[in-house]
Amino acid sequence: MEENSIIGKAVPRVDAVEKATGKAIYTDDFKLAGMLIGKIKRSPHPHARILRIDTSRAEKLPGVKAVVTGKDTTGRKFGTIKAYKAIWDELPLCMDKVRYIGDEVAAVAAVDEDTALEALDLIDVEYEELPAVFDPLEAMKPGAPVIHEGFQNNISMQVFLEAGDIEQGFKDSYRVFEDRFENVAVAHSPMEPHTSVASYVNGKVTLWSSTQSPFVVRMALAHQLDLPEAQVRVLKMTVGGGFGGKTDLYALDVCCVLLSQKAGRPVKIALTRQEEFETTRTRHSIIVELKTGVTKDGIILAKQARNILDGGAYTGVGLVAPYLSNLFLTLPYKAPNIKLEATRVYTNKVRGGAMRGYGSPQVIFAADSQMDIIAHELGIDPVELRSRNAITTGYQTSNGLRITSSAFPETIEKSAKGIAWAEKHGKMKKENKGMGMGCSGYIVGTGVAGGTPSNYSAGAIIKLHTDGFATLFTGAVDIGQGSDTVLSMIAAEELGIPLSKVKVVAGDTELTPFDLGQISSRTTFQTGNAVKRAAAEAKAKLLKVVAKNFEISPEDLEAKDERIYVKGSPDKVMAFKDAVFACQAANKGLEVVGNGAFAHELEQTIYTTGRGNYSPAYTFSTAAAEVKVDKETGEVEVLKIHYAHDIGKAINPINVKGQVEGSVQMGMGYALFESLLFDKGRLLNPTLSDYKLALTKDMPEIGVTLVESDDPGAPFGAKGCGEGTVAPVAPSIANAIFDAVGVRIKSLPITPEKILNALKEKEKAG
Amino acid sequence: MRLPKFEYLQPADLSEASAFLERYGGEARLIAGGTDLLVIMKNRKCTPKYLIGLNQIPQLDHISIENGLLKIGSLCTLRAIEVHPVIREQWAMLALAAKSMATLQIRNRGTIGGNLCNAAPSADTAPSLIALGATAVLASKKGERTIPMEEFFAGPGKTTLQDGEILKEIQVPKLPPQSGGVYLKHGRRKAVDLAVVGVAGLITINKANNHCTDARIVLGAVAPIPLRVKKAEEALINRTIDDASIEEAARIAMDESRPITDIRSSKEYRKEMVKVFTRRALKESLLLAQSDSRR
Amino acid sequence: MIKKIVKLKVNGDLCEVMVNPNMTLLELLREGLGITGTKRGCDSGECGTCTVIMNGNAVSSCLVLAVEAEGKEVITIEGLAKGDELHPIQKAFIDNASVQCGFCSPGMILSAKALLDNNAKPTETEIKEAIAGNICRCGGYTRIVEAIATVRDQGK
Repeated sequence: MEENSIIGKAVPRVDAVEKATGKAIYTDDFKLAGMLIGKIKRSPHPHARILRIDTSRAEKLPGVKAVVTGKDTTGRKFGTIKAYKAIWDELPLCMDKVRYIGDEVAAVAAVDEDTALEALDLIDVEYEELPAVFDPLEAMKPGAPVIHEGFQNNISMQVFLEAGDIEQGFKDSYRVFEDRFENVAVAHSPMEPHTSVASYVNGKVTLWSSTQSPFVVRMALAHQLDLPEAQVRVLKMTVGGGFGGKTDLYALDVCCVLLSQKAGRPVKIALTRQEEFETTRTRHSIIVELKTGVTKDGIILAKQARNILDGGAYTGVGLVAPYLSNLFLTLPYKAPNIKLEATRVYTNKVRGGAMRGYGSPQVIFAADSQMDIIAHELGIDPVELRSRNAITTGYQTSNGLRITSSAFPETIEKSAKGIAWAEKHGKMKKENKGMGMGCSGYIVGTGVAGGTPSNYSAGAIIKLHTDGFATLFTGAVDIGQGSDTVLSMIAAEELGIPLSKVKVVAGDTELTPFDLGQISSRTTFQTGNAVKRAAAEAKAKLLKVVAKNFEISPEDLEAKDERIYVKGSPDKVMAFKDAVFACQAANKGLEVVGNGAFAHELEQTIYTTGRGNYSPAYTFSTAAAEVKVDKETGEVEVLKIHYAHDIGKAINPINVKGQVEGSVQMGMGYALFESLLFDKGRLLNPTLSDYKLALTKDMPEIGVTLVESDDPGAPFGAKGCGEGTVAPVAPSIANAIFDAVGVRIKSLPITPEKILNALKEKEKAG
Repeated sequence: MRLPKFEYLQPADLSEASAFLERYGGEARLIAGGTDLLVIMKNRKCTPKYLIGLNQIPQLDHISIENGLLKIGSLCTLRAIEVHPVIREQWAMLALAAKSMATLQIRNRGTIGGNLCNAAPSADTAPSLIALGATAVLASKKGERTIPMEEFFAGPGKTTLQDGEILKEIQVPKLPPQSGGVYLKHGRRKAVDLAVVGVAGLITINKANNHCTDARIVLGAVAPIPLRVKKAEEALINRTIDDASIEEAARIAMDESRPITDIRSSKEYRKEMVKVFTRRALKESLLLAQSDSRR
Repeated sequence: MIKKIVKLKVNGDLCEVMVNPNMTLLELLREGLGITGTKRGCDSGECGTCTVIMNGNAVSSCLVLAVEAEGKEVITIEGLAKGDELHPIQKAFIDNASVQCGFCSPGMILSAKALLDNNAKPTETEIKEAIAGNICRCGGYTRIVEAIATVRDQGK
């Protein structure tokens, strides 16, 4: 096999210099002439009827240029993904009711922030408080307050996934394990708060936003405003982290536009850190009741789950979470008989959305903790148990997932080796130290495209220049995961030019092809494929012209090192840039452009039974953790994590390491100290001092092994990384704690108090 | 988040600052490093019409040692205390208490005066200062008075400063020979956290037989003010310090503590941690006292 | 409010800015001077993205009153590179893949600079302590600590 020039090399990111020099422009750095500052008035009540809104005093304040309320909107509700319009349940500015503390009621635009804040205080809102409900189990009971009319028992979605014969599966099992797991909602907390700037000029809306999905936002925004999509342009600026929290249309985006329309000037709204915690999205808290039947050798025969998701006050992109909560239980182990159910319930709190892992950290904490319970009860080594059940290349799961490549068994092996499992597992109890493993599988995006022609989810256009450069137009957004770099590398490799000669224009609905956005680790595989195809098409045009020039067949030509040359005769050569010139000359000056797109055809059964091949490929990850428990304080110190990820192929290995290390940080926080604390719908810790994120001193030693399984459908074999990598961390830590001190904590976060209480119970039990 | 509107006053010296305080009363607040005050102002929990800036007043941030007495100006930053070589050597528990606070960026601006005058029950410098027998020099139009640090706190967020009084200096006596002291802080994370429980322990012994001649145990974050647990100290004074007496002192400290449940921790856990960290603080102090080479 | 004129040095240049008393140094930089490399992540001194070096010390500019920056020397991220020539810390961050979304990078780099300017040979613990107040949500801090250690070892 030929060696790649750029793929597989650890190169610096293409946008690193501007970020490291402070020159990158994030949305709050962006300013337009005459721009006003907007602020949003929010509900102080978790559930209330709006009786009256009086904005007259605010409108009179000097410096205030516009005030908007629900009556200034089209009254249309919004959500995400057109296919699910039935559950579009949100208004940009509430009209009849508010449904959580922080719900948007009015917005102002003023000449400066001080004036805008003063104006907010001058808006009078009269509420009639309604009974509220904060717990999903309570919300489903008859007689519970109705949060959205038409949704019985406050259920926003309920989905089922079944395959095989679950009753028989349990009948055939040697033992059946039933466990209940809980976790709390946590926050994305990107370092850059949500920020948008809108300008409305002559019937056209332009929205600059810190967003992961400009096209998804545009679709929803255009519908909301009742404008043709062509009259709405959404473009991203440099995005300071998203993690799934910046994938859908926000009320703040709509408010920006409405204010700009009314004031006749651009308007910027930047959320404060407190609003970031209180009013954006969260990771759904999920109660997972898991029942698994196994043979005497620990082989899984039957898996049944009931997932109850705390949805918060609205749906939005949170609608996919119940599907995925079920789906991720069908990976990474073989399970011939499954019966999975997920119910998303409304409560009067800030809503659950999509957060890195999108259901997998919650359900995998449950499933992989249970794997350890099973191992312990059956007397099988936890690593061995996982290997026995591991999904391998070519497998098709009972619900129809086609595993085109899997190096999962190798990730188990490498992870165990990296942590010295065989030498140390079970042998460090005297020092209160232990080891645990966690495993998960993930998708590389899906085929759910949201209503575009032929279900394609990513397009790419490459334009070649006569100075040897290429411009890549892509709808994909680099939110810090390095997509600009990875996609440029794919283009550069395909074209045979250096990375430095590929320029990226990204995330602009006016200029770039459609892209579903940075979600579900889809970019490398899906957009990467589109980019590779676009580059190949552009290259084919060059080869055709050069072939004619040399009077040979294009198949005999190769593009590498900025040259097009005859294979085997490197002296018969045309410089890349000369080839571009020649191509233009030969085609009456037409620009040399390559067009590519990617679609993952989704079987219709996915929408009806949930069965079918959800994603074009799957990645697998294993984390092994070594922890030390302080039995007096209950504190857990994570000493080491060895992480092995089946990435297909690492396009930029050092980039991937950064992604994995970030996943460890997020997974560890999820396991041990992140939690949103609510009291009757009020968030008690909306600050970075009380919402604990991992800092440098908290981090363990991290070893990363990238395993390459070279997926046949992936561009250069590369599947992806970044989202699925969070899930294995929490169970690996929980399992390590069990190995260290013999207590099993089934709820996240695993706080020192929970450990101390469990140790006390254990001592009492004798 | 914007700060609310206010006027900024720049007194040339302490007496002018004091005069401003008296003139504007409850409408004015003193600002030193601002790292606590500006945050609560941004949250609109406090909206003074006037801020009286102390930062530009000369000679309020000195650190000096006179006849073994450490004098720290109230405007001294926490960082300056943390890195001062003599404080690190001779009053190590105070340097480490300062080091344990917030972030480096905050410690470069936050002052010891601010930490004490904000009087949070979890204020990290307070337990060590009380254990060390420190005193506070308060200045006003009427002159200066000195009070023990132990009498400086009145309640959560409240000091015993009288109207127009400004904390000018903290004075810390030398540790007696054969002494050792530590400040242990238990937080939710390895760095950058408010104390869930803070314990300052200081022991003076006769090294020959581990006979305790003096003991100070001061708890932070588990009572409305930093809490000196004299009962626990009495369990050690004039007795041999060993595992048993340490355990008893720790248990008494736990019983005497009055923690609350808040978003950082539950009162039950805090109580348990008082025992654990008092025990650890005493053990560590004992080791330090045993290795104290001074006579 | 009574406006004041604040005179300070920013990245070596003498600047005069008219400010309201309730303006912070962060706002003076971003709005008053229009240099936006210093970020606003939380406005409460809890995230580190607003870190600048003031008179040699790393401080959270969101908690420094603009009026109290009078007469001070402030270094922001914009003051490190000299034209196209990057500061060694910037170079190390880039080469070591320490920059992901980049929002924490300016503050992180300045905390590193403040450390190395005062202590050319910090231990790994001292490096971690210097950046303990800078939050990175994208990565695991490993690359950042390695980058700073690289600069230390280069001895520049």
